Amino acid sequence: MLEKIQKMDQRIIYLVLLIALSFPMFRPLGLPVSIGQTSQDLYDFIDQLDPGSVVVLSIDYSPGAAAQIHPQTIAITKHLLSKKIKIVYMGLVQYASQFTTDAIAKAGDYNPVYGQDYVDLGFKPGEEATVSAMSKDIHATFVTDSDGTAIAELPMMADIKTASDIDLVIAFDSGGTRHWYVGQMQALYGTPVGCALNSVNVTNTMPYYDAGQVIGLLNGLRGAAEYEALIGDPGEATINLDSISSGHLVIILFILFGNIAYFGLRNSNKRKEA
Amino acid sequence: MSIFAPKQFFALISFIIMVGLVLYKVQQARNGKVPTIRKIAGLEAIEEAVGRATEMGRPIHYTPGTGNLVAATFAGLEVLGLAARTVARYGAQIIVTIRRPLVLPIADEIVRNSYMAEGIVESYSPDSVRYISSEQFAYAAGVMGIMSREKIAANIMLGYFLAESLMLSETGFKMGAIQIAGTDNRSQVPFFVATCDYVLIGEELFAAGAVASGNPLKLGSIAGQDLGKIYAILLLVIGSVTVNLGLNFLVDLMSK
Amino acid sequence: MRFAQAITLVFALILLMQFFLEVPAIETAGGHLTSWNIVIAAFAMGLAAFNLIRIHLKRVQLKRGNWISSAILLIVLVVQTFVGLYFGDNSAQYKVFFDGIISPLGATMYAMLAFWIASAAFRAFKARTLDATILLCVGIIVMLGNAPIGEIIWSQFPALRSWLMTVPAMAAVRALYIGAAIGGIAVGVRVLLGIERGHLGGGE
Repeated sequence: MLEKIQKMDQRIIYLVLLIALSFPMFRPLGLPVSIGQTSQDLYDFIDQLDPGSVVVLSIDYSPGAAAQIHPQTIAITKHLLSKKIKIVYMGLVQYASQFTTDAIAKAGDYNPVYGQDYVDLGFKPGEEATVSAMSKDIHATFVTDSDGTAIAELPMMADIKTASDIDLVIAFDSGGTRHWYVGQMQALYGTPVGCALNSVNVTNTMPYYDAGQVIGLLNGLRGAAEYEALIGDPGEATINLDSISSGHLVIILFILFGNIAYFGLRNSNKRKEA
Repeated sequence: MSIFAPKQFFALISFIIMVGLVLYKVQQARNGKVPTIRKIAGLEAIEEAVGRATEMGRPIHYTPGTGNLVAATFAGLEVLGLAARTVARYGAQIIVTIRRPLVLPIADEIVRNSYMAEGIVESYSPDSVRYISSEQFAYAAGVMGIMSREKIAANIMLGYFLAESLMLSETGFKMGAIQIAGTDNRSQVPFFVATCDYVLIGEELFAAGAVASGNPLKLGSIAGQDLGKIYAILLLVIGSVTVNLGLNFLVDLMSK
Repeated sequence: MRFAQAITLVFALILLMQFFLEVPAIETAGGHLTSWNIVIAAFAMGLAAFNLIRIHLKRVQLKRGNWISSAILLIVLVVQTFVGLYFGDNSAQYKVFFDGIISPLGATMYAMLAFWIASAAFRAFKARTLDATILLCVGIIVMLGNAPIGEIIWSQFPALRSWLMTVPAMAAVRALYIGAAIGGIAVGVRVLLGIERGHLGGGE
């Protein structure tokens, strides 16, 4: 029996995990979520910004990481629009515009006016070099928005020219773009940087947060659910968070079974040898 | 107006000190004082992996990571030259998969030069170095397919990796390949540790190529790197002590 | 080779100085170099596409194993390029590909990680030694602290997770960061001095 557990077919693990992840989507468990300090800090920073402030949202995630990060984009977009803060969307990953369009569409009834309340500068290749260049001159780096309109023609952009004109940059990041914003914008120009991340990237961002180089951060789907709770508008993340609970629980159970089988077999082998 | 960018004065001084320490040790090595650096188990295993692949008649998969031309990619490319030479010497087959277009021509040239250095450039196949996709998971899927179809005997992954790390290493594990991995991306290290035979963590990756080459100047730079670490440790200790004593001179200096 | 090394040295120094100093001439030169980098990256994309087409076209011509997959790859490459260039990447046509193919495929691949993590954890997370036992316990605490169900099992799991992340884990991360950053500087110096020539095609 123990040997069977030890050599369990991986497909059994996959199947049990699939059931555990899917079940709460049909029968939500409605588990309560407490607010983490890093999410609270990001929320508080945005909340104290004056109407008309400028926030850059750098949409730098792939469709793969969207399940964790896109709900964060939607929740933060709602918060910014409700506070009448001007939003500059852009991206260092090629799918930026697709996610921007979707986030604006799902943000609710704020009816933002393009060019006055928000702009979408779209994807720009060049990675860290782009962040460095836009910090010095946004107009020269982007020239046009994602639709090809010259950004000089967008009224909102008239006063947004360098990193010094930006009140906050948030890197929605599933790769490593946050390092470039911290290195090129926060370190050189003092522009505040926030992060919205998938969970795997949180640990290596904590040193920035602890040193005050990142003002706050959201941790994956949980962070999105926390932000939804903070703005009082539960959405997609709150619903899907139950799956995280059941998934984590199943993985822990498998680890425990694996250890029971390992020690059981080891003891019985020792007895045989004796 | 100061010519120093704001908040960068101390960073510049520290940078000059660190570069100076590396240069000092490189110069010492040039003068014949070559430091002894401990062996890195993962690198020793490359020859074993290539030998095993040759015996089995199966190829070796190599990736210099999925990052652009960052330091970790340079380190991965450095070891690629050594691995490709071993492959050429044994008459084995190597498949190098690339995610970033900028890395492609460099990797291609490194592999070709390695065959040339072994005097068998005619054995070099232009299909050895393959661009797969810039899209992260399309790259991962493509490489997983190659690993399964070509039944690789060894899987070497040295460079910058993101979430694809576990996908590639789990596939290599299922294929029964010897796996050597290394990255400076801390969040991916646990996945490599769980699935690979040898793992190079953080700075080991940067030292790998230098150690493997045995080049005295490169070894000197590693010793210089260690002096740099002593400088960083001194800053940490002095900073912790002075701040706890209520003295902020180092904090003030660092923010200049 | 010497000329290439000289170019590497000069350009790298300009970009380094641009980071540390505020000298208009250097900033202008650095700005131009940055633009060149973006242009070269775009050209490299063309080179990569050529490599991809060459390898897969050959496979289709010779009808080598799985050549149908290669044919599909080439067809999708042509169609997607046409849609992107002709209609633009904000068009409804491009959105069909994005919403219908790229997005679900990417999400599927990422989601499959959960299964691989589960099987790798089952296989590797064994309390064989004291170190492995500590790793196992910390892993379980962090997982429970991250999921709401952990709070229901024991209300202190999030606080314990937070302490583990902000004290021991952060100490280790900082050490890795510092070590890797200094290692990166050493690689940079080797490249600038021409000791390391990987970027020029290797060779000692």
